[in-house]
Amino acid sequence: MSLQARDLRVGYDRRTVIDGLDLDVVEGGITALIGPNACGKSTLLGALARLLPTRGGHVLLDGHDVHRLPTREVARRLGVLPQQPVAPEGITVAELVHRGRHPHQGLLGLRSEADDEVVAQAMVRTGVAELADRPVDELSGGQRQRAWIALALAQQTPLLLLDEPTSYLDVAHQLEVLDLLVDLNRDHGTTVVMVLHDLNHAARYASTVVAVKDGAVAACGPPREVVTAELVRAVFGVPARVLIDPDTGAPLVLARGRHDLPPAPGRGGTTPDAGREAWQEVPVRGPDARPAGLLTTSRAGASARTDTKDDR
Amino acid sequence: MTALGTAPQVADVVAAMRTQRAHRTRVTVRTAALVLGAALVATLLAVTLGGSVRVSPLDVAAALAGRADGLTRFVVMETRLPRAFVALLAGLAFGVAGSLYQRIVVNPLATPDVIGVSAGAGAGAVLVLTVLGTGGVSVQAGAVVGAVLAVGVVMVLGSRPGEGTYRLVLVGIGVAAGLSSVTAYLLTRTDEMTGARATRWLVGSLNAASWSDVRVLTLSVALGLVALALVGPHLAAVRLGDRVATGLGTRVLHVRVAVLLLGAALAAVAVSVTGAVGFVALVAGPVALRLVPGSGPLLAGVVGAALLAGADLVAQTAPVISPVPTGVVTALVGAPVLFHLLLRRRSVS
Repeated sequence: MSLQARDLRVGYDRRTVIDGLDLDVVEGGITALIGPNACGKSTLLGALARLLPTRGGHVLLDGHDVHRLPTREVARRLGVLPQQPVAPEGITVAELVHRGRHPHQGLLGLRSEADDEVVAQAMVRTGVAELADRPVDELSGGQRQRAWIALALAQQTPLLLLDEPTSYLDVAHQLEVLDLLVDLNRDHGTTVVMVLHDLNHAARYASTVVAVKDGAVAACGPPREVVTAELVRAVFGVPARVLIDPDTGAPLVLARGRHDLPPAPGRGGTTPDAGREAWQEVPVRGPDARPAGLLTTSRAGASARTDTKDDR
Repeated sequence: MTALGTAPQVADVVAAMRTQRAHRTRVTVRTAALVLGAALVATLLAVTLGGSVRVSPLDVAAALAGRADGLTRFVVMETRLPRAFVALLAGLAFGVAGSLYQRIVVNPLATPDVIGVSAGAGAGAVLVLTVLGTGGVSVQAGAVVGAVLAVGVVMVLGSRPGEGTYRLVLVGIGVAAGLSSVTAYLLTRTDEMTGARATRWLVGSLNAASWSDVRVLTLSVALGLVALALVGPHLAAVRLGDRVATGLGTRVLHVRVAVLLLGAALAAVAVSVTGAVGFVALVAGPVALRLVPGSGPLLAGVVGAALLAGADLVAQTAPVISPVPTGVVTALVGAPVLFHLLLRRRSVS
C-alpha cells in the first residue's frame, strides 16, 4: 500500500499553502510530520487523505490518483482521523465506532456479525469497551479521542493517517495512543502517518520524520538524521540542544526559550526557583547581554511542544 | 492499548453490544407504538367529534362497512376520513422532513419552515391563486414548484465546500424573508375574496382534504421512506463532519444535496395539501429525540403524525375557538417549543 505525493499543490482561497511538494510515505513505517504552526503539515495530511482538493500534482495511492479512485475504495485502504472531530449529539461510543464500518457496508448500511467483531476489537484495543453505551459528548477529552481512534481502527485500513492524535491527552494517554499505533504497525503492518507537535514523541515513535516548513519538506529521514539542533533552529527558529535519550537511543530535544541559558556545556545546577527570583531582580547578566538566565517552567526542558489548533 | 486492570474479552463486548442494541430497538418500537396509538386515538376522536355532525364510533364502523345512512356515510367517508388520513400522512412527512434538515444542517432551527421551503411553497401557491386565479391541483403544483425552487436557490447560494452549514441557514432565512415579501405583495394586489382564500391557505387548513390528497401523500411518503432508507447510512456518516465523512468514503456534497431535496420534496407535498402548517417539522424531531435519545427520522415522522392529528382534533373540537385553521393550533404549540430550542441553544453555545 504505497502513498506518494508528486508535485503537490494545495491552498485555501487565494493562499497557496503547499507548492510543488514531493513525498514518498515509507510503506510499513511510521511517519511523523513535524513543523511549526501554519507550516502546512495538516494541509499535507489532509491532501494525502484526499480531504482537500488539490490545485496541481497528484496524490498516488498504489500508483493511482487518489481523486480518481472511487472514494469508497480509497476508504477501504486509507483511514484518516482529522483534528478534533465533533460527534453528533447523543451518539454512543459503540455507534460512533460502528460508523468506521461504513466503507465496508452495503447499500442499506446493514451491520453484519463480522462488523460487530471488528467494532468490539477496536474498542477493546483503545480501552473504550467499558464506555460502549455512553454518549460520546459526555466523555473526557482522552476517552473521546480514543473513541475516535477506535472508529479509525474499525475501518481496518492498511494505511492510517492521523492529525495530532495525541492533542489534549495527558502524558499517560499520549503514550498509550502512540504505543497502540506502534502495535498496529508491528502486528498488522499498518503504515502510519501522523502530525505530531511533540518533537520528542516524533523522534521516539516514528521510523521516518518529515519536517515541514513553509509548505515544503525541509528534511526527511530517520529521526537520528533529521532531529538535530540545526534542524530545530532552521524549522522552528528556536535554539535547542539535542541529546541522545539514554534509555531509548532516540534524539531528545531540549528547546530553549528567550529566558533560558544559551545551550552551552557545563552550566547545570540552576534551579528554576532561583532563576525566577533572579529574573525579577536582575535585568541583564553575563557578557552576552541576554535577559536574566533562568529556566522558566513553561518553555524549558523537554516540553518542545508548541501550541496546536488552527494549524494549516 | 489495554486499559489498566483486566481487559474485557472481545466476545463479551460483542454480546454486550448486541444486548444493548436489542434493548434500544425494543424501547424505540415501544415508544413508536405508543405515539402511534395516541395518534390513532386522536384520529378516531376527530372522526367522531369533529365538525357539526356528531358521529358515534359505531356509525364510523357502519360507514366503513357500507351500512350507514347517506348523510353519515358522506360525512365519514368523504370528509372526515380523508381529513384524518391527510393529518397523519402530512404530519409524518413534516416530521421526517424536519428531522432530516435538523440532522444535515446540525441545527435544530434549520427546518423546512425556517430555511425557505414553506415560504417558497407559500409564494408559489399564492402566485397561482392570485395571478392565475385557479385553485385545487394547480395550487398544489405551484406550492411544490415554489418549494423546490426555493431550496435550489438556498443550495446554490448557501453551500460551499468546507464552509459547513452555517451559511446555508443564513441564506435560507434570507430567501424565506424575500419570498414572504413576495407573498405579501401578491396579497396586497388582489381582491378581498381571493386574499382571504390565500390567507387561509397560508395559515394552513385541512378543511378541503380529499381522497386524491390522501393518494398523493401516500405515494410521496412511500417513495420518501424508500429514499430515506437509501440515504440514511450516508447521512449518518456525514453527521460526523465533512472531513471524517469524506475519509469514510462518503460524497458529502452529494449526500447533502440529496437529503435537502428529499426533505424539501416531502415538506412541499405536505404543504401543498395542508397549506403552510407551521412548526410540526420543527417540533417533531426534538420531541422524538427527547422520547428516545439517538432515535432517527422515522420516529420523528411518527411524532409528527401524532402532533398534526392532535392539532387537527383540537382545531375542530376545542371549546369556544373551534373551528380554527389547524395551522393556528400548531403555531400555538410550536411557538413555545421554538423559544425553548432558542434558549437552550444559547445556553449550550
